[in-house]
Amino acid sequence: MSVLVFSLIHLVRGDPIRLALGTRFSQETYDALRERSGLDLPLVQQYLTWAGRAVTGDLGVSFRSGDTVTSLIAERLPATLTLALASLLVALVIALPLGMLSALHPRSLVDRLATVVSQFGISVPDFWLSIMLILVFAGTLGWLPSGGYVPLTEDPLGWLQRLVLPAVATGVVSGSVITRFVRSSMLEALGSDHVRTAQAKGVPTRQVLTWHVLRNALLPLVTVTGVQLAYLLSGVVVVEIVFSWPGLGQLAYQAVRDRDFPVLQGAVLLFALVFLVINLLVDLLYSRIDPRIARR
Amino acid sequence: MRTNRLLPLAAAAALVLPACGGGESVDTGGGGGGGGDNTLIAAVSAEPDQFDPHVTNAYASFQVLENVYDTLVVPSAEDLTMQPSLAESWTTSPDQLTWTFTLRDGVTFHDGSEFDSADVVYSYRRIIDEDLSNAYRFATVADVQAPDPRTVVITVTRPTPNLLELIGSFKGMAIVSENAAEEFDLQSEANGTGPFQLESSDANGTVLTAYEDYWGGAPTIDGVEFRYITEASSALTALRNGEVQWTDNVPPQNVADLEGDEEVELGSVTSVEYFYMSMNYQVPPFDNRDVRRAIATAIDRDEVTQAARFGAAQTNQTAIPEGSPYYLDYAPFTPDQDAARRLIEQAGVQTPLTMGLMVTDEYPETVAAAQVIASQLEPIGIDVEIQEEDFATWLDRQSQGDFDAFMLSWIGNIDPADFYENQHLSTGGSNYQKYSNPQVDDLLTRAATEVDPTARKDLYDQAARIIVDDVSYLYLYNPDEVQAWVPGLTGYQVRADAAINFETVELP
Repeated sequence: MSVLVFSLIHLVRGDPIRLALGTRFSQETYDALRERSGLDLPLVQQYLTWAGRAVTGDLGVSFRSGDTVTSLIAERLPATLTLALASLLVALVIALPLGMLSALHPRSLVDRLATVVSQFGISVPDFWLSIMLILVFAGTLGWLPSGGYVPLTEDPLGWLQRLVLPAVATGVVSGSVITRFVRSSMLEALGSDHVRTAQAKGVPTRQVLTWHVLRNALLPLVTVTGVQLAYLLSGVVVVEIVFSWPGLGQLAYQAVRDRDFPVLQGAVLLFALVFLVINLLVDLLYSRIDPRIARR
Repeated sequence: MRTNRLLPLAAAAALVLPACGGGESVDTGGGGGGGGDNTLIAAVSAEPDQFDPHVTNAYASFQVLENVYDTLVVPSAEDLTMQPSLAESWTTSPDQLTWTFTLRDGVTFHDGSEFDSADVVYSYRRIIDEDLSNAYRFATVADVQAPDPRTVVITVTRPTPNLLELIGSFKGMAIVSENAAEEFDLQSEANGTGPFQLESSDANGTVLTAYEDYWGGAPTIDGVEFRYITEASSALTALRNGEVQWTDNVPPQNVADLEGDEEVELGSVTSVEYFYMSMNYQVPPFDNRDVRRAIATAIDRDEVTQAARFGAAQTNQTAIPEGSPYYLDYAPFTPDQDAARRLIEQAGVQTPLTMGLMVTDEYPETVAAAQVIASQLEPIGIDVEIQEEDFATWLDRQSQGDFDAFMLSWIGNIDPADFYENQHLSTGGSNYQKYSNPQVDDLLTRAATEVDPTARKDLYDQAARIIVDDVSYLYLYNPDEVQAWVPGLTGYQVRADAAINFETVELP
């Protein structure tokens, strides 16, 4: 995995030293910086040094800022966590009621409306939605700030005000994806034999829904929510940029542009880790929801 | 230090029950404030990579450093001629090989220590000995000495009439305190002599506070908070609703709209930056002077400028903008497609021919300009294949000579040596097009050591005419530097070198 990350990054065209030095410099300056950055060493040796340090938690030092990669990531992690969780909250608040309503009343007006809304959410480009939100809510109406980030501990209100728009921008997209899963998995559960049996036995509708339908519909929902969360945690680059949200996505994006290999390697490794951990959590959650899986 | 000026209750009301009516300003005090009411909040488009003036090359870093550090001499805001700063005066020896600088008295660094000649020697030696970014600026410098605390002597190996510009044109040549690199973490801290001190910096912004003992008099504002807003529409919205008071994130397409906007004041000046197209002398048929001249004749610069900058630029067939003391009024090409076609025929080149034109999204206006150039060259039998690359790849291909033609700009030029030497000397480090004309080499070499200003300008003018005629660079335009601020903000001047200086700013 780390070999793949390392080699892919180094395969990309572009010289970090030339990028760091700008357009005018002497050969001596170039050579000196290359040596300081350790880029004059053979690639295998660069990898071994990096991997050796990485297992101890030392991800190296940014070519550009001279800060350690771990400190750069740590600085941006709170912002990314905040936005990811808030977006997920928005997504679920949209998706659960909308998905359930349309599953309970298939082909009704509500269902059709929900389909249109979620289709819109999936297809609308997030940068466009973000800019529209800013123009309307920060510009025309002047209700909310246009962007930025303040830690919760410093200014709870400012934190919340700045969180609303980016969370909605990303939450609408994730929520639309989840809505469709909620609808289809509920429909599937509604049509299954045990639900028909329960209904035939005269089990009250509310009980049928919570015990027989929702519980079964929950499985695919947990999977897709996990995937969405992992996606949100890897930093939503475009939304972060538009809202000046200092998260991991911006960090990784800038690192790509600068060919700042240590930062990029650290970020990609972290994203990979996030996916692994979330998948693990989703699997563990499965057995809690559905005891049949645990017994298997 | 950070303040929340709203009561929680009122705050909740503001969030839940927003005030009616549009355009009301949002509370900004809650958001990562950097001081009191008298702090300027400036939206810049990128985050500084680091703050070591001798190491960084990022414009975003220099926007901050401009306000924190000083140089021995400094370009005037009006015409960029070199003015006294940390050096009060200077003399040159009759043989022009020794420059003696008398330093200003009563200057202190932000840590309280006194500024003297040892700081200058330390700063310059650091750049030279460690081969840092701007070491090339000392190419002719043999030695830097401090015979007494108020005097610095720079000896050069040959007359260097542009020495002042080399050591003063931007804060990359800043004077740091002696041993600063050992005593401070210069990547994140600063100890300068400038009007503001670097207070803190993180992913949210950079905070400067006024330095009360600044030798030029303390600034009137309490400090500056830089916020990074990459997206221009976000920056302009923040300016309109009062979250920020100043921004340079003004794309050319917005200029016309903003001019009629009462909520925003615009400042604009033709900058010393220039955009150009360069063709590869190693790739036929672009080695053919007639082909290059045909292309230069087919291109209508007004149309290019309109598309790339929405008119916010001055077209120019040379590099140096009108208004500079070194400006040369020379425009030999008139857009004429018939004449261009005749030149191509005269060159005996088979048409249609294909020209790859390499541009980068790092400079979006080059992409727009390339499209217009493609449409202008098509009628004369040249198919332009626009190759859009990310900047890292672009630079790679440029340095390897892997291109037919490319577009880019040069910034930060003040002296004519900056405009021509590196780009058009046959040995020039940035002569990627591989232009070689002995006459130009001779003129530029003589100009580099010519100490009589009139004779020097004349030599550069001669060289420039040949460079334009040969189409070593196909010069297009000097863009306007456009910045915007809230009405009532005074004491600020947009500069042709795009340096951002808040020393004398007063808030409304």
